[in-house]
Amino acid sequence: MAEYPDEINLVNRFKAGDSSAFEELVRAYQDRIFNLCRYVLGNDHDAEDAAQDVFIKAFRNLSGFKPDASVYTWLYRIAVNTCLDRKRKPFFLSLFKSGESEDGGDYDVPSEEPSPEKLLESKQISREIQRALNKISPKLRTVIVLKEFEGLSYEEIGEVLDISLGTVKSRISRAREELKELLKIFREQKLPRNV
Amino acid sequence: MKCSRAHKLMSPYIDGELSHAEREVFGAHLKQCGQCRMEFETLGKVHALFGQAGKYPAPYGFATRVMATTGSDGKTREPWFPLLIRLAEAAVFVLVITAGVLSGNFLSSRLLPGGAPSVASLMSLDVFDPAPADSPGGVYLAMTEGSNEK
Repeated sequence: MAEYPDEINLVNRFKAGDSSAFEELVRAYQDRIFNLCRYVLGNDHDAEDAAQDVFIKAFRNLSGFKPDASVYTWLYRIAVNTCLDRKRKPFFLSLFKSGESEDGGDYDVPSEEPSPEKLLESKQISREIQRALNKISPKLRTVIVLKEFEGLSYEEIGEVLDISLGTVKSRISRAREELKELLKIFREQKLPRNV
Repeated sequence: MKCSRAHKLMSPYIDGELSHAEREVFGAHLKQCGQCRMEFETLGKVHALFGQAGKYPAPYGFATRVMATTGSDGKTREPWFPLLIRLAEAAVFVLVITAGVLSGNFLSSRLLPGGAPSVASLMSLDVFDPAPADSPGGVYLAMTEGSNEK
């Protein structure tokens, strides 16, 4: 996992009263944090709310941040806890919130400008992955998103989630097994009946 | 290596988390075991699918909105709109429950002859007619009243 090159310097500048340092931190990590929230929560609305909460919490607690941990694992930990708290919210509040979308939702064009065909294929795959992710438990969902999309090592995932290496391995294996079965079912459902 | 052990090593192998020695032993098992090889290839396809899926960038203006909430004085300002939405949700919930109770009361007072009975009258035994004399209840009452008199 590549760290932001000067994250400790950013933290020190923030502690010294330089508010522009926090904006640099937000811009450096906003895509990763939003992507994590989007795949865990399943829709744009909740993901943006959660991602904003993450940075607000980070802002409040950054003064007390100790450099023995990396900033990105600290941010991911806040993001995971924020997302899992949202999944546990009271039933009656969930009645008024948008549910997990089955499709990929609004999908912005990545900065590399792939071809239209590649973009369409990528969007369809995102949709398929999201649909499968929605069916597995939040614990398994979180760990596989941190691995597959954020590229964290098993050790880093263990630090973020405060779980042992063995538990990380077990959850990733279970998540892939469940996703394998779900994706197989989805693809079988798409086949025409006479095949 | 047994297949059960090989299964446990499949994901760590895909994720580059095995030692050199473990990779060697795992690779040797896959060469001999067709079933594990198929299983491994399928898991590999799931992993590859993630690689082809898109990532969601933060929405346009996200950083600006975060900074507007945090403010330059070092204090956070809770965005009032989401708070208002939550209060509205709670208010709607209370209204729905209250409307349900009131409409239930209204319906019962319109449909029941003589209007809705009071709670005290519902608890009173006077709402029940006395048991006919030739019914089991009537006979029982006659027997018990007779023994009481004695």
